[in-house]
Amino acid sequence: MADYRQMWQDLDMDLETHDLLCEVLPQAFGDVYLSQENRPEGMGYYNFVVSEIHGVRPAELIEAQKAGAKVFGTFCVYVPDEIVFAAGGIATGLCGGSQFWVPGGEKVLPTGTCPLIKASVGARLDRTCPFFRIADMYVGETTCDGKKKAWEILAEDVPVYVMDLPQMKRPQDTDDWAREIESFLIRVEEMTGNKVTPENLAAAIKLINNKRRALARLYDFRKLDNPPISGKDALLISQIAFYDDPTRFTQMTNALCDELDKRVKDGIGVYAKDARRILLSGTPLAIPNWKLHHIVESLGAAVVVEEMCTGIRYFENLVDESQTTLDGMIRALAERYMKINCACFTPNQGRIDDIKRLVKEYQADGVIDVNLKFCTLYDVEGFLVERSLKEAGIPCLGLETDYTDEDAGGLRTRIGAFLEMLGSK
Amino acid sequence: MDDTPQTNLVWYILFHNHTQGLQLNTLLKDAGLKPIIVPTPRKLSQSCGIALMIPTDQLVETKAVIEREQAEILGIAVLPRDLNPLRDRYC
Repeated sequence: MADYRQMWQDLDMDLETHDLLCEVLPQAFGDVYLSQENRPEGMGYYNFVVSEIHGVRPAELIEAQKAGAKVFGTFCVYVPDEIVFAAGGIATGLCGGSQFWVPGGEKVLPTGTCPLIKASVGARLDRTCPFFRIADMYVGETTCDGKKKAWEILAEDVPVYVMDLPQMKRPQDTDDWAREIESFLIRVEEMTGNKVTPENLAAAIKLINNKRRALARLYDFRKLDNPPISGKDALLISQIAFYDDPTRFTQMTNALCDELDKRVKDGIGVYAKDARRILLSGTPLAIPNWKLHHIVESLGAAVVVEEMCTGIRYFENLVDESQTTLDGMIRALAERYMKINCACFTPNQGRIDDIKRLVKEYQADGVIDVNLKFCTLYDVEGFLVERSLKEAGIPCLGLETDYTDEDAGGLRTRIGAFLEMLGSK
Repeated sequence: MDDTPQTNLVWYILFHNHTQGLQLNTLLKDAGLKPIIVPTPRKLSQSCGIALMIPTDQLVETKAVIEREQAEILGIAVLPRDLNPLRDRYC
């Protein structure tokens, strides 16, 4: 129960408003996470991270800054953390998953902007999230129109560097992305005062690949008949991956997986044997957005995989570790990141193929395609996704939601009806 | 599923800082107990950070470990168990 008020004050945070967020977190976390039975003991670490969410990690980042490191705040799975870590910097995801921050964003953004963008802008401008205060530089990207304009607003308050992500996947687009990574590398070198070398970039590639390996290992357990860990817990781990220290995160996640190995051997699963298995696809679920997983699982179903940025898009495909030159490594980074299938690309058949593949790999009984309100890209793509899944005989429910609590009842009704339609096993 | 909150009591161990909490968590686990790291309930503190949640039937043994190991804590508090998965109140 540490008192971080001095640290928050030093970060020029609005303590009174921030206090309101501190007030709701324990109960929400309790209802969603602590109400589960038979959780793996290793989840204690992630409970710890959430409990100290605005304390321990921010304090670590500030200590690193005192030692000369620069902190880069990122918003998207296309931004290559490897470059930042290679230069002795620290990349941290910036959280935009709470309704708490949305009104702050709406002061400067149209109401019809997606809640993720509104929350991210609100967290900065309202001075209510330490991570947003600590980051020396924000790294944006051109994944949607709302974000592109939001960077301009944020840039009036904090240094923002924007990576220009190609919107197609032709060979020349991968070349363009490699050039963008090169430009980013130069900016990171300027910011940190450190050179990116083949040695430190190789080490950073391995560091982040190891995090991906740990997450892939975790997700493999969810492919089993009765997974030894809930979808909610897996989501929490995925969310924490964005801002925890990568070495510690990898170590703790592998330790959890060792426990899960044992649970599998002992025949311990967390679901009823007849639980329907659901794949969630669509827009990201930034921390602390736990609503959909919680509703699905409290209705007796299992969320077995997320085709989302807070899911497989974050860890699938490793960066080639065999490259020895800086150019070769940058090319390898470009190729790996261009394999992510986001709705900002056209065409984006790869995402539909991913969903169909994941349905098989994770034995999903149905897909819930989730769209954050006002995300035009995923909303429009939903038509193609849902049509393709229906043609393949895969039951699919399209949902739109935001960060508020108001639609929870309606979501329960619709998801409950979908699960009923899937029938019993 | 029962939609009423469970009403049995839950005990919370409070700390000055997370290091003390993690140390006691390890000690209790080594003693075969099952503490759960949780965000400190708002009713118990205006500050953020971890507490350890202890079921009533492990309270006596927990106190014994604290005394034997001279673990540093801020205090022990009790609240009615109030975990309601159907409350639908999110952050």
